[in-house]
Amino acid sequence: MSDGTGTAIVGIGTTAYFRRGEATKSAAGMSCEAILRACADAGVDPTDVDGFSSYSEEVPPSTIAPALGIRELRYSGYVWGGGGGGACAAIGNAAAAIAAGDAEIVVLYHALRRTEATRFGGAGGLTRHTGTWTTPFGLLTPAQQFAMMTRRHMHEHGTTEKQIAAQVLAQRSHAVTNPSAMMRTPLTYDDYFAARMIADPFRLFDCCLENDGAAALVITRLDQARDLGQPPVLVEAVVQGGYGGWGHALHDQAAPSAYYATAGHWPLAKRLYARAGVQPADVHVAQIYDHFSGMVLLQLEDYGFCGVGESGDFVASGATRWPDGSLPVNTTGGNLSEVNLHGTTHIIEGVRQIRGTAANQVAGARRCLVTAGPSPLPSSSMLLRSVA
Amino acid sequence: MTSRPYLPAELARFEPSPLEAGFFAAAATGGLAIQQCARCRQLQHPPRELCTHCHADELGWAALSGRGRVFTYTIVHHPIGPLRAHVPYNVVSVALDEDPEIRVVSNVVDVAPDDIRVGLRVVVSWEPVRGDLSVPRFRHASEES
Repeated sequence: MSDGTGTAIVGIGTTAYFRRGEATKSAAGMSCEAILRACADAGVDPTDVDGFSSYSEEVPPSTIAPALGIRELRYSGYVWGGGGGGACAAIGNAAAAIAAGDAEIVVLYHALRRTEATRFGGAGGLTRHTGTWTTPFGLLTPAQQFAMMTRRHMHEHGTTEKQIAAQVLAQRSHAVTNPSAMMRTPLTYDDYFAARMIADPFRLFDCCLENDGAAALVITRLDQARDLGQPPVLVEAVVQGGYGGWGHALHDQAAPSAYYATAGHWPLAKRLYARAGVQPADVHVAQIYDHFSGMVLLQLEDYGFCGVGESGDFVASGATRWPDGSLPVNTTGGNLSEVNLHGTTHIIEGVRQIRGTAANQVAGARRCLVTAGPSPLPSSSMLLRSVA
Repeated sequence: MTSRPYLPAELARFEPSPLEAGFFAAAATGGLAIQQCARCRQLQHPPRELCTHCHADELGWAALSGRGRVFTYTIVHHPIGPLRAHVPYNVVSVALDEDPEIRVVSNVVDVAPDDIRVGLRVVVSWEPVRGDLSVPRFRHASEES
């Protein structure tokens, strides 16, 4: 919809990024900082914000709203699930609230501030997860869970460690030329294979960063967006959910075998493309959620950029590498090399690509796919589009 | 094979819920029982409140052979907490012979990390963890078994 009745992202903002445990501000403080930057970017008075949307977030609007001095809260929404799966769905909630007239200026915010007890790959897993069917067998962390799915893909399709490494190296090359990335040292295949094994087939650089920081976006009606400070980026289509049999497959590993070695995103892809009336070939750049390298490959198949089982060849061909690939993927370096804020930064990079202001700008990018998850349902995804 | 257990018994801190009790009652007598719908006979695992096929809530337990094949696996090298002394260890998902869509997450306790493969033939082996609570681990089985 570009007739003025759609919704658009008009502001983006982040804090500086910190190594895990090194942030000086609280999660609430970082959230407010990111929101103020996003409002300044948009040219919006923060006290005019009237809605909040988030996912996997611990700081509630009841903390943020008085800190910002907003006049009236008209909408708040939260996405179920876990990890980064709800990032695009939180944009969807904001867009739906705006379309319904519930709110006019909605902010999506998300902060992470980890301690040893709450880090993703830490011993906290032993106290948080007491799953009868997995914990006694030492299946405790997301790295281990997604390693099992990736291993099955390797078995079914002949995907190799070196093909998976190609995606990791492509993303690192993007981070090297992204001034805000945390990991800016070039990475070679030798470096990749020399790094310590975490959960076979995942080595260190297959795993997302663990860091502190916050990010925020401002969403409003497209007709209002045209009067603000930035070229509006249309939320062309957004979907959430996923294949029902996926459930919380990464925890119980119980997805039916025919779909086990997928990312569970294929029903989302079908709905997303149908809603926008586009095909995979109409996507110019993609931010594909990358908690673990292998799941980027599985999503490339789910979203139809290559055939099922062909993602290893696809990434090894350089297709996902900026600037020459046919579909540059994770142009900031992504969760693996830029920063891991559960995908809020993937949306922000999508906005930059459509504005034409990205550090690694894809020439002529007018449509960006952003995905979130796979995670316990719901996962989500969306298409951002230029209205210029 | 080592003298120490494959993984620390304290990992099995759960108390079986009413939904899970049938599995562990069978385990106490050395049998592998998988939840089965009394109406349509479908097997399902982990146990759920309803039959995921016909939605009946009359669910019983079917005795299975405990034989199957490794469907997928990981070898954990990065330890957390008390697992430091146990790495590298494998985690496998075993597809059971009677219905390969029924998969059980466990460990193969007698195969070296480098020799774990998808398709490996395995059979259940019960490990007491406390009182009469046992958890299923697996051992390599001959291809003909």
